[in-house]
Amino acid sequence: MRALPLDAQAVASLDRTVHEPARLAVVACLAVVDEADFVFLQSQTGMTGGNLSSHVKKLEKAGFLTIRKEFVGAKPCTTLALTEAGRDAFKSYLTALRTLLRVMDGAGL
Amino acid sequence: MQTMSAAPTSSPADRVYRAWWQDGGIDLFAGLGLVGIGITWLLDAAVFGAVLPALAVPLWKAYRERVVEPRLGRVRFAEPRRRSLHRAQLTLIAAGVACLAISLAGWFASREGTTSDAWRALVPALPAALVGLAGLLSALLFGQPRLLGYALACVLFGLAGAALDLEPGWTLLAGGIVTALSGALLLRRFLRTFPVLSNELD
Repeated sequence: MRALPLDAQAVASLDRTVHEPARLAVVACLAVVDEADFVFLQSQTGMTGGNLSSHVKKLEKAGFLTIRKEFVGAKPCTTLALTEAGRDAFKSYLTALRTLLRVMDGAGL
Repeated sequence: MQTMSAAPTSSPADRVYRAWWQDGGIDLFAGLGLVGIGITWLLDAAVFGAVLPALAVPLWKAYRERVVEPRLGRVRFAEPRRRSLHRAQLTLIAAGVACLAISLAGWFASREGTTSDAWRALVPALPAALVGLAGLLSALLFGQPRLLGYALACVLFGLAGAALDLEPGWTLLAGGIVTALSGALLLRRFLRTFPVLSNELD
């Protein structure tokens, strides 16, 4: 069976902001809920607070998520949600990934 | 990774939803509730068992806020999931009330001697069997397969109680102890696995 040519366009279209594994975990987690707090993301991704903070800030800078800070009683609470742009970016990322996987399946790998 | 294991075939939304319920609190509260109802039944004050669910609601809320949320966090599920969760809670409350009402009706009927011998023989099994039915319903509504195990245990305890002609309170007590113990073990694992985390962005 002849391998299909690698779809370079599909690879190139993978969004680098979303593609990074830690950020991908954050986006995938937020994609299935309306919003979640910082603790929830830590518990679901297994990342430390500092590590998660840096990735969350990069996603916020890219316009993919919103950060809402408030106090619940005396305790600080940080709530995060994907923006429409973030959801669209994740959908596009998945589409590009599926395309790439189809090509690789065709190559018999 | 600190995440608890889940079937890889389930959707991410299902996995997140299940993780939200795997602290063992639901098992512990349901089990202690059954133990309480079983004890009130044995003390011939089964009617007072009806107030236990009402007492459990604020305790459950406080438990989630003080024990679970600092470790697992707070999440607002997507609209379809919120709707199904709300429906599940209402269905469960209705099923619980129906179970209690049917159990009490069966118990009073058997005491007044208006029922057949066959019915009286099954009365000890009735409350536990109904609780088992509620457990089955909960397993389906909340997507927690382990609740099926408790449901089966309750039904078996009920049948054993009927065979041994025990008071229904004993079967509820036995089912409650099994459920509460399992919940306590899950809670212990949850507390070890999930430390309290800061909710502040660095």
